[in-house]
Amino acid sequence: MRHKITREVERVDARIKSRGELPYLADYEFEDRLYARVVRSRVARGTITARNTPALPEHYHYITADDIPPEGKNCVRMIQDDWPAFAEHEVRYYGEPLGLLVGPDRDTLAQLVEQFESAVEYREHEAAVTIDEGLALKGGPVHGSDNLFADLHTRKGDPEGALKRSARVIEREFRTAYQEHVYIEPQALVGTRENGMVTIYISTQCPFYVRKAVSTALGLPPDDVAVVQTATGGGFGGKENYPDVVAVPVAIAVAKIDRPIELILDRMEDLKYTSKRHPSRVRYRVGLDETERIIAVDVDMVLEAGAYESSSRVVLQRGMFSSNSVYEFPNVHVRGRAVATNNVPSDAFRGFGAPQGLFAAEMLMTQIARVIGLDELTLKQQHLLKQGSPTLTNGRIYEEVKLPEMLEHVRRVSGYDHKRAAYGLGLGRGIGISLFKHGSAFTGNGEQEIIKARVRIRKRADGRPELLVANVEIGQGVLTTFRKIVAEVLDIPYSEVVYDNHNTSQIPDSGPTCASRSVAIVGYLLQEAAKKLKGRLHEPGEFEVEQVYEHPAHLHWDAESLNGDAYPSYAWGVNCVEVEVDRVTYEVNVVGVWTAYDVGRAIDEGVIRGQIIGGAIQGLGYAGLEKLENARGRFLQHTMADYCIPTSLDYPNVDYALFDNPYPYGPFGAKGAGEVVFDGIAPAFGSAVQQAIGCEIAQLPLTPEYISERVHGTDRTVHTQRKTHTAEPQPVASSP
Amino acid sequence: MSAEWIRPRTLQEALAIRSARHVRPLAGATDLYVRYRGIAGTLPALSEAVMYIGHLNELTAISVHEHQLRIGAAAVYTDVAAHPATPGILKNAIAELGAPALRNVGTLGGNIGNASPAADAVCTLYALDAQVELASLGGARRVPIDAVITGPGQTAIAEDELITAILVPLGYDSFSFYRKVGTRRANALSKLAFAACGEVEDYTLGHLGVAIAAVGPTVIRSRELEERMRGADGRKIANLRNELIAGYLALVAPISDQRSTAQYRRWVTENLLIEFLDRCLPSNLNGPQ
Repeated sequence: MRHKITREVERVDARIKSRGELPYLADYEFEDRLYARVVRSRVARGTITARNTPALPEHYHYITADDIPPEGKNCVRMIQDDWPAFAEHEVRYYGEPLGLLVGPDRDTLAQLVEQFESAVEYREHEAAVTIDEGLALKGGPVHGSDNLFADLHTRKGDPEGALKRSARVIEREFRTAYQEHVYIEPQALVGTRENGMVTIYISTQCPFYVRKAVSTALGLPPDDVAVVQTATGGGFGGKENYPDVVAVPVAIAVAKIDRPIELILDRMEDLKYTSKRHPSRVRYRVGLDETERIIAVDVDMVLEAGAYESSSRVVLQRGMFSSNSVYEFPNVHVRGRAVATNNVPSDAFRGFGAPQGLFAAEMLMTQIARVIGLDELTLKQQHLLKQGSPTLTNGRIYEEVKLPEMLEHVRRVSGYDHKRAAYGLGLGRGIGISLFKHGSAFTGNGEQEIIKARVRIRKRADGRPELLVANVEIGQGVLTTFRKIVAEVLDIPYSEVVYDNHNTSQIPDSGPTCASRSVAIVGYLLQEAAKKLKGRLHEPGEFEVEQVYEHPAHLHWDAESLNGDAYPSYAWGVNCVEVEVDRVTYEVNVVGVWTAYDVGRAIDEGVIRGQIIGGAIQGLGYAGLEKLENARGRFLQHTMADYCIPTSLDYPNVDYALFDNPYPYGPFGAKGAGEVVFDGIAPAFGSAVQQAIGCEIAQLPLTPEYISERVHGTDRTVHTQRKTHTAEPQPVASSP
Repeated sequence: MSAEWIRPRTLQEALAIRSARHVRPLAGATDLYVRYRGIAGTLPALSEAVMYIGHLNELTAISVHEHQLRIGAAAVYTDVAAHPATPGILKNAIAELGAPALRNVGTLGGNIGNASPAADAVCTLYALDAQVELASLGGARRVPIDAVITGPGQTAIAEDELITAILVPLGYDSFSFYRKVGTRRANALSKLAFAACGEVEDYTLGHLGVAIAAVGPTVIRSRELEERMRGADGRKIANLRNELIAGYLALVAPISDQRSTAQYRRWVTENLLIEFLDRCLPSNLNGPQ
């Protein structure tokens, strides 16, 4: 029996969006608006030897690091301050901002950008653009002395000893590539001054991140900067930190020029120069005992972080903590490194490291199963986490694990058992299943130590409750789900709830819109705040209730040793993908997609369905279609014709089932759902492709080109005949 | 950026302008606007004078004369595909070309003038033995399509000429085989395309055209290899199979680019040849077995 809150309602933004009536930033009018264009580096790595700044026409401005106020700082503050707003002497990646041209006419600005960029002279240095080149310190370190933004370890049991006494050691390496977000509108903002305050209208997931970055660069108290979120058509992580990178230069220009300034990246510019998903290289050494049980797992994960740190340390942690998927192994060591290169910094992307770790872990399990002659799902079931199991960080799984019944369901509706047996090996058809989980909310102590979320609900004079939170609509339905949560507590129609204030000067900081945390964390705070308001809506006048985040007492975390409960709760998933591989063209035709999820309790089935379908399609694009290659620091696919995301013809309908499993610290039992729906598609696809082509795969994306190489046996990255019991793992591979 | 736009009222006027000065003819603009595109919020930065010809009735008509389909150079794909006389293989290629919005404005004349080695509709025109009508004030000439396109972006069209029509012989496609390998299912550019069509009489092969796109600087077609297949029955095709495959593979010279790799294009070309020679031709030559 479904809880009432799960019942689908009409999304509050459904009509305006379907009709195309929702204004995006480019639709806004600002009096006396000027336009801006970024002047960028044309080398991936070099020292600026001469700027040769050309003369400016009247009414045009060129803003550089010299225009930053003395009390400010030339940085885009994220976790670190290492990413400069404008490069001054050294450039670390192709397209790095050198300055901002501002003026009234966009055609003139386009000509000026060409003049300014081509005038700069560099002493060019050898660039490191791949994981292997970064680890090998090609051209000398980009960052520090070892090129590592982070070098982390987490350990459980005695992995070294267990590996030594293993009867068999299996090694594998997996690689994943870039992915571009392709949000609906490119990076866009208007900076202006309102009521004396620098005010930023911006397409973003995280208005308070923008405020922090802008106030730091300008040397202002945070309260002296206002940030207003405008319609954001999908973020996927791409509107998490990168908006800071475009907002800071514009804010510096506004502080100097004092006019509204609009910066909207062209789509091609956005594809070329903005952050992508971290490429990864994950190596495993797995020890099995005489009974073929896995007793030791040693993981070496490297993420390609790009030129500056951005969120790489945290993405890396989630990647590391996902590298055992949903399995309990008694002895585990995970080393994680975020390596610097001369590419645009990699950053948040739906899943935040988990897709890389889960792809590697799930493919590993399929390949171990093949080596020891066991059915994939049997091996996985032998090691499945359950309630009370220790996690690889020595935390606990507190919740009931419904994976067995979810798996049972997916096997049944997909016809997996029959198809798996009938399709044979290497005959062009395949079906695969992945199991996975995604921790809701920030990793480790992020929620209690860093974000400290705070929400308020105002009882307005007209009797309606108004939500004062920093979380924003990015297509994921939060305008509807937050209203539903509060309306359900107050027992009023959800349309009565007001939720339209997205100005940081008027709302408390409830944290960013990311990490599957909006409903799970902020929704819960709203539920608890609404309880304080219950029965008081008829009181006269206006007043507010507040709720501040408190970390559940049973959870503990040690940030130094990466030990404890990495996440307060997990969403769980089972995905099944069936494919046919064309024997002529090696193209993969996806025949069916079946999914099951435990997201605690769905706040709205329509919203969750949207997430499931969108996550699956984006996941299939990541798995097989979206190819983004980098040569000498430049992305080769920088048009929408060459960077291909799926269309509605590429994939079939997505079947889904929800398993109710209310979580005590989530609103009505809800956990996060925005990322788990992406995480597991690629390994299910990978397992299906392996069966269809009859050989192991070791990378994403599984393009027809890669599959053709595997089928012809010319791909050198897969070592199916690797020796067991080899010496220590090679720390650095320097050959490309 | 103010570019010079010229809009003649008649074909005659358009030809007079072409003979007098350099202008870039433009109909659907689906290639040229991509080439000229500026940043968002600005108009296309045209680097030369353009002459719009998409509205000229003389260029948009589609008609049939004596076993020949005459497609106006500026007839849009949607209209070409909808015409009852259009060969199936050309319809198939158009169905997989771009998106509906593009097919509503894009033209075969533009596809030829753009001379992309990856143009998939043009590939079927090679297989169909199409001719291109080129007109100038001095009159019109008809040139085989493979003599019009001479290299990537290069054509044999003179400065004073316009493509006025594409002439497709009818009845050359009692069987056909078309396969586009794109970057995705729809609205995709080609990694390569393979088009073949011909006639079968008394279990032997009559006229035949085989064309492969995006595996060389222009669409690949070999009259020599086709000549060896002409008159062949199923048994002879089976005997010739290996040397035909080797012959075609010797002609292709694929490159690696942002869409695919040379190796993949070569392998898939080979697979498509095998598919064509081992499956498509025998099933047409031998009939149902």
